[in-house]
Amino acid sequence: MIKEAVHAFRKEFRLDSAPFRHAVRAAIAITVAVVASTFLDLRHAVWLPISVIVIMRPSVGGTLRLGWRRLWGTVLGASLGIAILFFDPGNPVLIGLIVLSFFLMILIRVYSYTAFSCFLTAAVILLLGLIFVDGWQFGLERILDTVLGIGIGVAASFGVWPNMARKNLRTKMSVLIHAQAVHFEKLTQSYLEGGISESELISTRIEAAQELDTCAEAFREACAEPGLRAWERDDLTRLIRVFTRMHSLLMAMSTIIRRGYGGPLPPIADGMKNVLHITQEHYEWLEEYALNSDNCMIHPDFEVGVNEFMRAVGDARIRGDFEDVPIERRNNISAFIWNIRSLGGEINRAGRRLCELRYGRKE
Amino acid sequence: MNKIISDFYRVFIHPVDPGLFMTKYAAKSIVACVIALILAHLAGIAGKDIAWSVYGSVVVVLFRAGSTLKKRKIVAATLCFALAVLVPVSTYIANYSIISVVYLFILSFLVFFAPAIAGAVATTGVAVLIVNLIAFNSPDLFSVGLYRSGCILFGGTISYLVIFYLWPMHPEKILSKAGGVALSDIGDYFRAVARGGGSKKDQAELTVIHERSVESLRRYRRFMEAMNIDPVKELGKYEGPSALYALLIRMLEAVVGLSNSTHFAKHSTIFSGLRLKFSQLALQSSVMFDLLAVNISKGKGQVDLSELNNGISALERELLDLGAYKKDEGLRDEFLEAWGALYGLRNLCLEFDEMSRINIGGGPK
Repeated sequence: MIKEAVHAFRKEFRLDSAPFRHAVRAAIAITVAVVASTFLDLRHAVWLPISVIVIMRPSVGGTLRLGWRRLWGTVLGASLGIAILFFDPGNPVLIGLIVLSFFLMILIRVYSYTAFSCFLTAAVILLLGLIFVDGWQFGLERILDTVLGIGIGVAASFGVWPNMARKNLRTKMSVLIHAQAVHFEKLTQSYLEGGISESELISTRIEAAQELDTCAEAFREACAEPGLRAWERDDLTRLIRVFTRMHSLLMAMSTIIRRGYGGPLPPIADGMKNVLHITQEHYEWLEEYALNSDNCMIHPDFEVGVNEFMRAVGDARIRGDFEDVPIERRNNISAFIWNIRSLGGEINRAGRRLCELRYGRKE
Repeated sequence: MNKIISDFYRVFIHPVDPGLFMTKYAAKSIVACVIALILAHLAGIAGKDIAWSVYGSVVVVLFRAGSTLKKRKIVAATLCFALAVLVPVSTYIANYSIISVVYLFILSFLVFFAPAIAGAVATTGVAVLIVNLIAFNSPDLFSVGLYRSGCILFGGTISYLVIFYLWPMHPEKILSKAGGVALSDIGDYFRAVARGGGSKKDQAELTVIHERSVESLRRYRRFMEAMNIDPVKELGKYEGPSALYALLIRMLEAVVGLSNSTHFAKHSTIFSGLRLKFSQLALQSSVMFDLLAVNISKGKGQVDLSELNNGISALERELLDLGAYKKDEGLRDEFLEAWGALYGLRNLCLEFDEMSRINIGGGPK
């Protein structure tokens, strides 16, 4: 463990490392916030740097998104607190509301940062209202301090080694596609040769699901950044939907493979292997295309491969090769083919969306 | 009254906190902080110093990290220790403006850089930084800082004891509850798939419910991991909590499979009658799902799936009568989609069957 930590430290403690830059950026923003709060002689000097601490994220888009949520939550919470104090409900009620606000704050923390921030602010304002006569003024001060803190955080994000989330999208996508491709490879092996345990299949799928979440978050951060046109934001949203559909098709394929009734039928086994191989190539192409669309290998013609296979299946049917095959097994194969076709279609669609993002919609 | 409460739970609590796991934790946290506050008062900590005791108790309940109970305890203890060490330093250094700015810069840098070396430090680091900033804004003697440390340790220890020892969680109960919640969430997803008309609104609703069911399954996995059970390693054994996890995964896969193909051949009028019967059968299956969930929670298990199986067989015959698997290429894609959908439903039926049987064989206790 110590060895790993030392290795990570050596790897990341460099000027060009993203975590190093993020740490410097955050440290500058926090220091500036503390100096500013002293200079402005704020009553609650700690609110300003705390706003900076909680909104700082490695990417500009991440900081903007969190800053926006923090702002909304604070404005709502402060308004709520001021409104309650305005009605002067008496100390016992105030104490009850403070406890309720803290309770809701802890409850909602993992689900919505805006709501968390809202209840936190409301609780703090009510607490100050309980102690001081002019408690409601703290609500306005809290809003102003938060606005200033967010401003400093956002300025640092843009001003110190700005890290645009959209610049890392290619890498994130390629990692996601690779994770899905690895899972697909396991599924293929399991269907054709067997010998792959359920644990292996689930492990690779969990990895793909985690990468999908990471990628979706990066897409959302990129969408929050300035400089993108409306259609580009729209395309990013549509692209992540395509990746999500690809993932759900892989999930559906697992269940078909589990009831594979002994894999493909001998008359179409070669064709099936070929289709699966083409799909793997298709995935490889997409991975490379996501990373480097200018110097990418030739797009494999998935449709041609599938049509050839379907013709071979038709011929086998005409020969009567499937006559004695139970309908459950036939259905299993049909469902598998349908899923592969859909997956291939989605990979094509992902390629088209990537192309649109790279070269614009007109081309 | 019961109906009002159950409706309130269904509409407001369940989407946010199914199983009331976070609600219980939030209640536990509030109790811990209130106990810490009362004890601090009784111990004679007064004035501004009582606030430091509150900071200690709040950070322990709010900034939690670690995938297992043991790791969570370590993180909470480390957090208290780090605060106890750094708060006196911050309190004292804040008296010197230039040095304090340098100190703060270094501390902030370390807090934000540390996650690159050890991921779990991120949450703890933010807590350390925030409490130190509070100390930073009220400069005083080192001895005062030490007293503040004592107050923080006092509050933190009370919260620690309440959360981990006096009101601990019961792993088995939580695990079986999480399994039940996951099953009911997958049931909701299934009902939405069966009902869904394919409109944009339906699709949006489906996405939300799907995400919730996936999250439910992940929660179950996280709870297993928190109890030092490797959910993936023991998947093949089909015993204990792993059995339910495996079944939940398979059930979710089956519903996702059905969802992918439920609106099959939608541009072909030849299949419209079949589509209608299919959706009716899917709705019937969703009723069966509820029955199964109720039976499993009562430990009865088995449900009669013969009607469902017969319905699927009738649809298969109808599809064959329409010309599927005939020796020509007409409507190839539509047939392929239709078989995919029927297979999805059949597969779900098989999963129902397996779930009721395996649970009787040895589900989580």
